[in-house]
Amino acid sequence: MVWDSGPPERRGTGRGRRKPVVRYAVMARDERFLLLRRRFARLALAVAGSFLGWYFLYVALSAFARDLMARPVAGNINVALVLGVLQFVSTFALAWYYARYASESLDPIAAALREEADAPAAIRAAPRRSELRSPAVEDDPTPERRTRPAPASAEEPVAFADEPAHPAQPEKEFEEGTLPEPEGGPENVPGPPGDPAEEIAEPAVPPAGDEAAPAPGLTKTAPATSANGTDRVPDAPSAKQAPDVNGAERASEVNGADPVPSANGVKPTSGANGAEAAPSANGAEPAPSANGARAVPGSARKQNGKPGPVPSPAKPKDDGPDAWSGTGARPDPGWLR
Amino acid sequence: MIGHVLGGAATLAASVPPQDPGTASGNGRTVTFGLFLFFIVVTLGITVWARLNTKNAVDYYAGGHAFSGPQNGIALAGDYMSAASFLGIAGIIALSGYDGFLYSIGFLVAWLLTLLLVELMRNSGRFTMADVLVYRVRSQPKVRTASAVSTVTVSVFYLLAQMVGAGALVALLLGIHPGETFLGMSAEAAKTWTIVVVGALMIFYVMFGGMKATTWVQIIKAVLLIAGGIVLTALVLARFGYNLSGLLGSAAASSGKGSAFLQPGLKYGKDVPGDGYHTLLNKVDFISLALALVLGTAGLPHVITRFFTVPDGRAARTSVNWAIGLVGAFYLMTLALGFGAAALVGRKAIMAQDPAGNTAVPQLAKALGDHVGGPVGGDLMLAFIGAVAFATILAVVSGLVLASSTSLAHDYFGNVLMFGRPRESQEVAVARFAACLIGVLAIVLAVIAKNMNVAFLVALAFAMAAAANLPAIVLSLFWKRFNSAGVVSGIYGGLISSLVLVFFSPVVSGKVDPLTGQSLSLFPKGVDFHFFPLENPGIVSIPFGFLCAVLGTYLGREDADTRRYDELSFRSLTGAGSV
Repeated sequence: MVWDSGPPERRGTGRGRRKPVVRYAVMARDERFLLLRRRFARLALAVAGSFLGWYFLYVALSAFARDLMARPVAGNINVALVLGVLQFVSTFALAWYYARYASESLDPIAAALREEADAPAAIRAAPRRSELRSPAVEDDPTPERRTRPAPASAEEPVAFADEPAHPAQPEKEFEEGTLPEPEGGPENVPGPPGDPAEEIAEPAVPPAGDEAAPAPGLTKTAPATSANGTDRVPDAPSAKQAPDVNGAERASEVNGADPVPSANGVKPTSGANGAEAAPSANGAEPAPSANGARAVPGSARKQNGKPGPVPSPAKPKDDGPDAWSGTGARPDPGWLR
Repeated sequence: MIGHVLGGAATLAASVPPQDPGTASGNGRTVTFGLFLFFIVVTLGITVWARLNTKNAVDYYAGGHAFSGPQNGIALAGDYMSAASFLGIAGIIALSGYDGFLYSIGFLVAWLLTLLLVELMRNSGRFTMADVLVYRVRSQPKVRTASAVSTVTVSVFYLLAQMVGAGALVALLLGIHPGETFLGMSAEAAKTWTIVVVGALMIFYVMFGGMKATTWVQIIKAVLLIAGGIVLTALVLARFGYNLSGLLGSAAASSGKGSAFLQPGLKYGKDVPGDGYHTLLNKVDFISLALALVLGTAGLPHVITRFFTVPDGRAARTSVNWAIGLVGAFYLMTLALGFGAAALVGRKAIMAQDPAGNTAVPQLAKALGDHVGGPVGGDLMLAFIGAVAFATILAVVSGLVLASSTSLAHDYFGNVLMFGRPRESQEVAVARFAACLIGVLAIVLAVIAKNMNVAFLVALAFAMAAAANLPAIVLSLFWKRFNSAGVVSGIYGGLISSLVLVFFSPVVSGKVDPLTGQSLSLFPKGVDFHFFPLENPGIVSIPFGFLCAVLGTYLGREDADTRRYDELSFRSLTGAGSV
């Protein structure tokens, strides 16, 4: 603290806490999300209620109904033993049921929402703070957003044309659209945030992206200062954009954006880069080979050769709490604004 | 220094110590000791490898988030099944019959609650519990500090229980009884040295290897433990012709308690004839223990830090499912081990070694080995189980030290003292230093307490985790109105109430064994300031923790940040933006 050059004025929102990400709050009103939440709540209540009820019934029987527990069932095996073993059986069964239900009924929705929310397009489209009418949000203006006006405008319209509004669909086309990075074919790029194909691999990348991230630091340095001020203006007053519009709007944007990344070259690419570059740090790990992350290092190394800090790798992760710079020891100027 | 100590010990080991009639014969000791050394060498090698592959904070705290679900599941099982649950539960079953099973069921069922929370926490957190808690609150430093205090407190108490247990256990495993010497050490010196060596090793693993080394130590330990459990269970069942009823009957017969041995009530919730009040107290105490066990697991810091070693919520779910499978399978096996020890070793022989029954499994291993392969077989089995126990202790204490040093460095140093912007290298350096500090503290406390009865600390750690951490986690994730004041008051309320209630409970003062007149409390006989009648505070402190969290929220006069709550909720359920 003594040797920290920056004034501590922003205490409480340091990198330890994730930056608020407005688009998540917006998407929290999405129908699909509400459905997901309802389903999870139902599932969690059902599982928790049944196992706690059954367990405490068993405990109560053990404490107060010893005659019942002592009753023999077969040979020396008594009711207590059978009930005890049934606790094991029920635990295994509930765990299995939970995992099955989650992967069938929750994961697909969650994956779709996640991809939509973290897609480069969604991030560009993010400045929706206004919709929330929440006044004092120091949001971390993403570079994408700032640059948006210029390059994005070129492509976006085109894209809008093809998919009007299948909010649920976008993921599929999405990754195809997003991934075409200049250098690595899509097949080399298991990671990029929008890839539903391997659900495990997909998130495997982000963390990496984050840690290697030369990104957030750099991103912030340049634009942050200027953008910060200006950005804040719009949000407070405008309550115009009603939340309901969002769904469709965002969806179209997401879809529309597909072409953008590749054409645009600026951020989506960098986003991908970051994600891939990241694992290079990890690349050395031998052990967790089963992991989706495994595939990444290859591409990572490839791209590593490149000069390095491309603008904003960790975009989808922009909110990552401690986006430490890849070099580790370098204090992150973005924080000292 | 470790190398020096062990090297010296190893040369001494060559001069075979005098034969003794206890658990370990001279050969057995040498083999046991050799296996210890082998395990130490392997794990040190892993630590060196991990050090070379730990390049940044994410590697150090969370193994680069790069472990797979099954790997992390095995490590979770290794992290969770302490010597208390491996040797302790089997020992309770061997001595008190069915009641040990009650304990293990609580330990297992608790994982379902963990399963419900794990994905949400993985999706919204990064390294520590506080990362989840601070997302939606307005006052980060207070919440971080409270969370670090709770993490360190719970971990240190649990650590103390493990280290003191380790001292006694290793001395027993090496077959050193009071009055005997081994390598020139008396039993007392052996206890002290064990604590110091275990402590030094754990510090070394954590300081240098961070999460990667700790995880691999835990994985190896879990594999050894399950393998040992399978071998022993198979041998026990084979002895009884795979007839479970026969095993139970034989155990009940040699326990001297008849069929009561197979029913609940010998240890927990005892009936006190003619004293309704004490009977009821015993039963409430038992329910209180069950409550702490079932709600505590999801709040244990060393379990929580393991959630973050996988890439995403889905892998976290997989890992908890693996952990449930392994932990459940192992606790089912303890049933066979415990009853097998009761039947084959006998109550008297177990009590002679250790009145708490912790040596029941090693003794059973020896008995089974003798039966299968003669004295050599017995020595080998005993040595193997001893090494498993040693690995168990090391794996668990490393996990505890890592959890608390992570919290101190990341939560307190990084985000409170440094306002959230330390250099990464600084924070990791602080984490390493904190690991050393906590390790040394634990060693010193454990050496001081090495002859005290600290078994209650495990239950206390569970009660504190359930009372302090669980309300904060659950309400953060699911209650829109929750705020910083609620988090802080919930954590401190749960923590302090648990500690105070235990301090004024019979486990600290005033409990006397009616038969022997010995003190069963922490303090010697004659000191009695207890007024809280229960030994397990959970039934009071857990609701109190929740109550404090709710009251704090309303009295805190702080608006909840509902927008951030929406974000947290979106994130935790979908995994968007997870790192």
